[in-house]
Formats: sequence, structure tokens, C-alpha cells
Amino acid sequence: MYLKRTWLAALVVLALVVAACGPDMATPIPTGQATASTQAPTQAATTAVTQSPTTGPVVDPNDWRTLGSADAEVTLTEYSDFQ
Amino acid sequence: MYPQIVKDYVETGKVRYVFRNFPLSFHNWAQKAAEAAECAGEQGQYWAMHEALFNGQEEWTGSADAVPIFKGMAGTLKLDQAKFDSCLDGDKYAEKIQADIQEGSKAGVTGTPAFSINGISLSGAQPFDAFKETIEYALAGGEAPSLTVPPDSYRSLGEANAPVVITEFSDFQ
Repeated sequence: MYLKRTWLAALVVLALVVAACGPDMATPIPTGQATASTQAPTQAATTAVTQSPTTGPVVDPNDWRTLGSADAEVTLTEYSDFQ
Repeated sequence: MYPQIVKDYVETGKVRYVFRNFPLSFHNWAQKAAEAAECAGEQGQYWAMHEALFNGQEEWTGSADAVPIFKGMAGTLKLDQAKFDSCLDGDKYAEKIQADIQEGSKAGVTGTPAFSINGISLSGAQPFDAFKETIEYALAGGEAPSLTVPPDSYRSLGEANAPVVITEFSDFQ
């Protein structure tokens, strides 16, 4: 009886140690919100914050192929040929 | 360019319109036509030549030699003929056109016409309403789909550095 209790206690201790040291397999797939609040940003995500939005090509102020204000909120770029 | 876009958006200061050359390889005179427009541009007549080239397509697209026709257009626009001819014959803007093509290719352009409105792509000849809808979306602060997702985005699922990003545009009704 004493031996059985000892083995049972040893198994419980072993199970606790494994649970504490192993990977967290019970964590659910994170939602976007959870990802944003609980995970450290990755390298790619950090880069995303510092990138400028792609609003169009860099336009020389003297470029004769533009119409409208240089301060316009929106840039519409047309790629076309004449034929 | 649609006159309605110019009237409603360009002339009101809301939109800046930028033209970039993307001559397709199987359009035999498209590259030279683009150069002709640039040569007119250095004399302050880019848009006049732009219009002349489009309006006169039937005259030069099937021609065995379109260069004399382009030079004739320059004469009609009363450009400095010698300067224009030298510019066109000397391929002065050939590299500029190629740079445009590279820029377009980087932007994902594969055919013409192709449009980018604050980074939002529109391909092919589109009705005015398609431009209006996209321009209004951009004016309201709408963003272009991006291959990168800000880490604080509450409208995303999954890893921020996943190799594939699926962007859904939808409404709730």
C-alpha cells in the first residue's frame, strides 16, 4: 500500500514538472486582437510601422506628365501606352 | 484621362493625376510615340502631343514609319521643329520610358491601361464610376491593400509576418 502511494505521488510530481517545463500546447490560435496585445511585434511587423504608404510614384516637381495640385490628397497614376 | 475626373477631382485640388509610359512590346510604335510626347514635353507641349497621339492613332499605328508623322504633329503644334526632330531621332528620352516600364512592373502592371489610386490598383478601361468610387474611398482615408499588416491592427487574424495575406473588402449587410 505504502509503495503504491509513493508511486502515485511520484507520478503526480513528474506530471507537474513536465507541464511546467514543456511548450504551452493549450494556447488557442490567437485572434488579431490577442496577437496585437499579447505578442511581441515581429521584425516584419516592426518594419510595417515605419514604412510609408504606397501612394504612387515619386514625382519630380518639374515633371510635365502631371496634372493637378502637388498637395492633393489622392494621386492617380495611369500606366499606359499610346498605341 | 476622363474629362469628368479632371473636372470633378483634379481641378478641385483633390486628385493629382500622373501619367507613366508603359509601351507594350507588341505595339511597334508605342515606344517612339512615348518619346515623341516627352520631346514635346520639354517644349511645354506634353499634353497637346499626348492628345494628338491618341486622337491620331489611326494615322500612325499601322504606318510603316510613324516617325515622320510624329514630326508632322510637332509641326502642327508649332514646336521648334529642329529641336524636336533632334530629340526624337536621338532617342533622348528612351531611357526615361524604360524607367517608367520598370516602375510600372514593380507596381504590378502587366497590361494597359492600368491605374493606381493611392496604391489601390484598377486594371483595364474602367467606367467613371469605378474611379469615383475608389477616389472617394481614398479621400475618406481608405487604405490600399498591403502585404504588411500593422501589429496593432484589430481587424486581422493570424501572424503579422505570415507569408500570405488575404485582404477582404466587404460590408455587413
